[in-house]
Amino acid sequence: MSRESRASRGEERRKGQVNMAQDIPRYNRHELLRVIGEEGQKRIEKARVLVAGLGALGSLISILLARAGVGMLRIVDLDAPELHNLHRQILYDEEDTRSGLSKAQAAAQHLGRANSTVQIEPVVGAIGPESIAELTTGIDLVVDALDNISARYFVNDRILELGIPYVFGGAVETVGNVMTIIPGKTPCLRCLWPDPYAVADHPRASTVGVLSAAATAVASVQVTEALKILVGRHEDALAGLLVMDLWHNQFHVAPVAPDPRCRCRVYVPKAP
Amino acid sequence: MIHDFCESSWDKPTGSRCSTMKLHIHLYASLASHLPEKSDRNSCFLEVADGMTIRQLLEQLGIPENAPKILFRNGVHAELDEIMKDGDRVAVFPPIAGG
Repeated sequence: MSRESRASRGEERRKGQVNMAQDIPRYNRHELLRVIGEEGQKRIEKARVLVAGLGALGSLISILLARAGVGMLRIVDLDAPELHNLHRQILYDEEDTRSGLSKAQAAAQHLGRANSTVQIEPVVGAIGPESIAELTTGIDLVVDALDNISARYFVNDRILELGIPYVFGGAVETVGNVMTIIPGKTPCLRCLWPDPYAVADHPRASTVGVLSAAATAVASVQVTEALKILVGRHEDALAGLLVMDLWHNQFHVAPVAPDPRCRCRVYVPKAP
Repeated sequence: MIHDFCESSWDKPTGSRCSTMKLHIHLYASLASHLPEKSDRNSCFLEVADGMTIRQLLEQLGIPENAPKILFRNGVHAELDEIMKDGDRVAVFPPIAGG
């Protein structure tokens, strides 16, 4: 562009004849997507989402959902940021590891700076039988970023009771899983893991490590699943368990059928 | 890829030609290393003796019994002692629970 044309365009902007960058709606690039659109964006802005856990998965999930304009984010974690978290927990920085703030408090500050229009509800605590009811009150969707099995069973059983969707995710080593659970329609976590003892000794990042990109890849898929649900496109959700190994270039959606013995079957609507 | 395990030490031949069944085996993530050579990245077809249980199958594949794993048969959660049938799809996953 020539100096003259740049000057001319600047003059037009000053006169308000062309959109300046700040005139473009904040969520324009999502609204332009055929799968979201303006109507979908309005739904996102009205949604109330619980992000359960604020580690590697929860960091990216909460950042992307906040920046996407989700109406209310309730974020929960018991821990405080530590230096060895920073390679993959991209919500925090070195100052957070010195501040004494919990992950939930530090996250709320960062998310508020990223999008001040989103209502952030930080909760410092664990997910268990005493807390799960309050944590899920008024929530439309739960996105899982937990690091243990038992808390996931509490979440799974609660979302079945409430009839709200749940996006399960997990990552360790170079591998990740994602499964979208819609009560009454899809298998639940207990269909996948019916026996808590069979999975209790699962590999942990503290012993076998975790590739930062594997965790953020899982979180990105989870956010995509969450947005599909929030805009009402349930039919686009993952059908089965996504199993991916980033290092070994493996990406599979494994079919998972509802277990007829599972408790989630009682939530399936009866045929008229 | 078809592996005829009737001729291997896998099954327990009764002396006469044994009856076999064909299975589609999927081993995910770190478990894929237990697939026979020349398998696809995470799956293979195996021909095994009729009446084999999932426990016996995993033993033959070298997957330790105490390894944390999730078993699926035809997309539904399965138990170790289930007897498989011809044409079954058997999938084994490690539980991925880190956050």
